[in-house]
Amino acid sequence: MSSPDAPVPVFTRRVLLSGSAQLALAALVACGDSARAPSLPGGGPIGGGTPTPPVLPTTPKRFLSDAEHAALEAFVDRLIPADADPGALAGGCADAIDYLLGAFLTDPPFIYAGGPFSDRAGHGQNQFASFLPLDGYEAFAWRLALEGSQGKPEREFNGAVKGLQAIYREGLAQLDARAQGMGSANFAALGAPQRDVLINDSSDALIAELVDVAFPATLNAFYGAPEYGGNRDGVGWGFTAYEGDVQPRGYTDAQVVEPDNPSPLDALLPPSYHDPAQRSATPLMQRLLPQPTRADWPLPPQKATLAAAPPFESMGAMVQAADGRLSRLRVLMGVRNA
Amino acid sequence: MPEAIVIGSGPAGSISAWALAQAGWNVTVLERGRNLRPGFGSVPSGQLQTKYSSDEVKGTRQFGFPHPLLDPITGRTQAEAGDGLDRSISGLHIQLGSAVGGTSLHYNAKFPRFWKQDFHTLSDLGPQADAQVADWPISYEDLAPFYDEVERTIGVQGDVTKMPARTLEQSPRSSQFVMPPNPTGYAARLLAAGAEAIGWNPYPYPAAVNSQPFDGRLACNSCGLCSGFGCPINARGDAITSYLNPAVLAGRVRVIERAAVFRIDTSADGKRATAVRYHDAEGVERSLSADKVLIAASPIHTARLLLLSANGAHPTGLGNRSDQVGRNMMFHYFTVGGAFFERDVQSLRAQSTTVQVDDLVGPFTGPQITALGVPWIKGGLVQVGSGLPLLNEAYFYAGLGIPHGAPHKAAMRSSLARRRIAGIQFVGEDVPQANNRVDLDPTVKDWRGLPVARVTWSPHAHEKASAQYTAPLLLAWLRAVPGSAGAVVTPGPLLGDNPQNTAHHAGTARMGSDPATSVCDAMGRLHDCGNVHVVDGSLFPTFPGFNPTLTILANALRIARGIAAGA
Repeated sequence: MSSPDAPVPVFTRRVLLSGSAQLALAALVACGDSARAPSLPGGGPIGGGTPTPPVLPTTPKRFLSDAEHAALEAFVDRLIPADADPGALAGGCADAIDYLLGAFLTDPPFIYAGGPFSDRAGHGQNQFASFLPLDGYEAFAWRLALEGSQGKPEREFNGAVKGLQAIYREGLAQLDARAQGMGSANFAALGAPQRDVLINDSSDALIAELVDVAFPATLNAFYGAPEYGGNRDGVGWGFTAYEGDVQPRGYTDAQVVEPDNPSPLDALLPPSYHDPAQRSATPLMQRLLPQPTRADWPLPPQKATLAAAPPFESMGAMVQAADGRLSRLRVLMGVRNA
Repeated sequence: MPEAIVIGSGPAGSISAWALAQAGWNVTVLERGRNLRPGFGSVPSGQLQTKYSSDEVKGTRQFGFPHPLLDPITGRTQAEAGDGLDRSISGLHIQLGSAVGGTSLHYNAKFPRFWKQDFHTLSDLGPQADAQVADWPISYEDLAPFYDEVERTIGVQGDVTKMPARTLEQSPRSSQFVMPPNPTGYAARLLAAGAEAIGWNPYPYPAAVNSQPFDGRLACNSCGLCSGFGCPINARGDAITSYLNPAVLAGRVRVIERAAVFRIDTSADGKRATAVRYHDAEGVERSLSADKVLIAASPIHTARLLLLSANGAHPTGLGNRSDQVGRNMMFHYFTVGGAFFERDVQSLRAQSTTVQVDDLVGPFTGPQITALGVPWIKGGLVQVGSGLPLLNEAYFYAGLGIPHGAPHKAAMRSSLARRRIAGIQFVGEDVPQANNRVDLDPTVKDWRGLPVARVTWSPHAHEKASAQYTAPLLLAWLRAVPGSAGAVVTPGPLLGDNPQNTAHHAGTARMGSDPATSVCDAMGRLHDCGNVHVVDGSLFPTFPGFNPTLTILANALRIARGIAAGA
């Protein structure tokens, strides 16, 4: 576990750029001579003159007490458990959730990571680490979501709102109370099977409400960008063979068109529609940046199919509209009635 | 100098402001969202910065969107409305983005044209029971020069030599695209092989994405995180890069961010708008006047604004003598599908999406269709080669009901919905219904205390029949994909009566020649208020099954040029 208030650890991507790649990117940023030449967002104008401002990492703070935080760790540990690969505990998901609850304890608030680039794919600075300032609308919205309406008239235009801080505090307290009822000092002191029993008790409204927000929050933390604090050392991207954010390096045309592991069936496929001659004549950044050698990430043998196809582009919109609540996501996906 | 106020800075508002400013107008654009492109209005579009990134967490936290607690939309099905239920859902379930540039900041920039036949569906095919199918008051030929101009100015890739004959016959083009196609993703090539095997005609998807440097902006490097993400390298043409930013730089257009318009005032006789009222970022109520008011707030919010503007001369809403304001709310329906593999087919590793199929556009008629209970169906295009990023994959399993703990981890490791799937999305036309409508929620308010939009919506028998007819054809295709170990299709309208979460919105202020059955004339002008024009997708009388942004842009440009010429 990291100590309270420590900077979010940011793992070093398994693909490290060589010094020459860094130079190539620097050259791209520095060599242009036309004011209208394309420039890389986040990289400063190609024309030079305006140096890229330094990135100041945002240092998050915790909201929960040490005891609450310990309960949260014991809780997320069961949502995404460790097996042969690390789980939510090792990823730091409890930290990430705690940082969100305490988002306004730091400035800028710990809500939206910066951008456009991390330093994992060819950019020299980790811009994700510097969180984005909120405007008045966003700050009001997030204070309402986190703190709840607290009886303030200007927050109760549609009635009272229970904030995430209260949902976590009450849910974690309930887990401790239930654990004590089972003869344990607290929830964290329970063994894994006993913790699972409590987490799965959907008849307990406070626990069900906690799971409803905490499972999505744990997914965000574990599979999201490491700068949020819950995907430490890229553990959520390791066992899933996810390449993470790949900008500004992107992919070469060959990486797009051909599989990393060719199949004999590939001879049956129509060619790509692009014209390699035309593309190669263009000064793409991807030609300046060396590509990583991709490790072989085998998939476990499995023939089974799913009963439904993912709604691809609409999935992101549903996740967004779910607003961090699993019950809402199921309604939006048509799995459950409102 | 004539002056205009444009409400909304998405594609329709931005291109209108650009075209009016070119003609010498002074334009004020009011946008309820904030600016997320540093440098906007002060540097050329090729040097714009961005606050977006390849960060899935931002999406879960409504970055660039209204907040569900502050600006919810409520919803219910027609059956629930019939039972007297006020709403069954509230939040972001059918919201578009709110930021300078609108939803085009994070759209996918797929740029097909509508087809000739789409402009006279009623004349060609006849009515559907309990629907308000209508011809457009304009033709494909009226839009064609504006399609050309938009494609040229925003920068659209494609290859006319690879387009199917029927597509070219139905959407004829005067020239080749300004850029060649991007590389085709491997998963899309697998699916294209299956399509060809059953006699279909896959081809490169027209898209407003740079396949080579264009207009001072970089070329796409196929990162795959397009839909729902702002492009981190500025390789995608959008409302800001191609229209609003150049227009502001040229000096005649100003944009006020966080300006939430809530009312348009009219003269006592109702025939002219006299003021546009809005709350600024501090909540202060302000007012502006101009010769023309252009509404480009997107269909749900355009209707809400007209309804909020009711007054003595317009007792049921501005321009609502026909009682059609808010009605005919249309959402494309989707049938999603995928071919599964035992290996990683890298479906996310490409510009999404690189291949299009038009073989299910329709119309379809005959005994097979009438047996489904409708006289005809129209389908739509198929997006070929969709993928799912990691966090969305995790939510998908959780939403399906795969529990936390070991089952979740096993699903993620196996990755059926991401690494092993080559996906398709069929975009289906939905027909306009009077009872699919936007009105004002009787209870729920926004954070300024104003009634929010409520959307009552259910699919028509047409959409159910269309989904039922096309789903087996899509499945047959997916089964023909070389090397696939299985396939599945999920037809949206057959799963439930709620609108699917889509950014494809249309209707609510339909244009037509008869003031008794339409809200606006062919120039988007309210029949009953001469200096107010609707310019966005609200105008569409029907909603052909193609990604709509190109047509929204072309139609707004057509209207703005007409206004500049004295309309």
